[in-house]
Amino acid sequence: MTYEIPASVAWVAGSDFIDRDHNVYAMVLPDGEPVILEGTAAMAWLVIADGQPVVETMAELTATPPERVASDLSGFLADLADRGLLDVAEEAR
Amino acid sequence: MIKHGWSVVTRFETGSIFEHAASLWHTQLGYVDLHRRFPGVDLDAEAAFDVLWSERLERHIAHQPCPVPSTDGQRLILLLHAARGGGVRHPDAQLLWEGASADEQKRCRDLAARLDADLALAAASGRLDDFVGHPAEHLWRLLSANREPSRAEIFAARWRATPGLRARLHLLARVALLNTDHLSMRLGHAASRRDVLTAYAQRVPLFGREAGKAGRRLLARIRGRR
Repeated sequence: MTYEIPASVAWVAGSDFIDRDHNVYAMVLPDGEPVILEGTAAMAWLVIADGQPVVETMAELTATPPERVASDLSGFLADLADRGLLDVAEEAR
Repeated sequence: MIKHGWSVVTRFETGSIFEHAASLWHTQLGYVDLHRRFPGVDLDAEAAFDVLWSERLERHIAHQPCPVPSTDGQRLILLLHAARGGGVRHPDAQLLWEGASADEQKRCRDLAARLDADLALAAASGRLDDFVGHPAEHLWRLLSANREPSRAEIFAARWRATPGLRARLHLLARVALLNTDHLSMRLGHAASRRDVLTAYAQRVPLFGREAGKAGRRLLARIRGRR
């Protein structure tokens, strides 16, 4: 699976405004419910925003086996996709 | 905006003495001030908007493309805002006027001239003496002063700055009517008929006092002319 942030999503990284704010704030325009992503959720979002493969990169960053990361992240990523905050595409073979 | 979950807190007519902005509230996004004109810009609001729009830039805010005024436009708007909040002493005036190059100041003055905003810019840049005798000079002197002016002072200055009978009658009506939006904000709930009547009753002595002061000043001036 590959993940992308749709153009209709407005988001900011808290650290762009306040040094110690490591959260990400995101909402689908114009009427979506704003969400706050904390900790590893915020980190995963920034990885996706950077265009990196989220499972592999998070596995590397957290020194965790990719299978475990994929399992931990699957519910979270599916929830974001359900809320319209992420586009999901099957990886080309 | 109401369709998108915003509710009106103060209307244009009651937001400020300039009647320039409405405040709206969204339960998750907070407050926003929606402007229909900008205090200090005396050019017709639509014409002024066209001037700023014709020089707009695009900036990404929260990863969304947003049209914003040109850098000169942003400088001028912030300075006009500073002009009614302390004038030259306002931190924005210090940074954006005192800290600007001669070329940046000139471009800002040129834009102010196109928007008929020279007087308010003068209030932010300490040049109000260039506008002695202008009908609105006193108003901007008061707004840019380093103290909170009284309601009577503001009223007298607005009266002097307001041209024509119709506009002055409008001003009188606005001053006489209670600002129910602000009353609701102060109370923390929608003002009831009883709240409004109580506020009117409390206001009469205040008005009486301020009107008395203004009357005495007027009398002294008339006597002085004799």
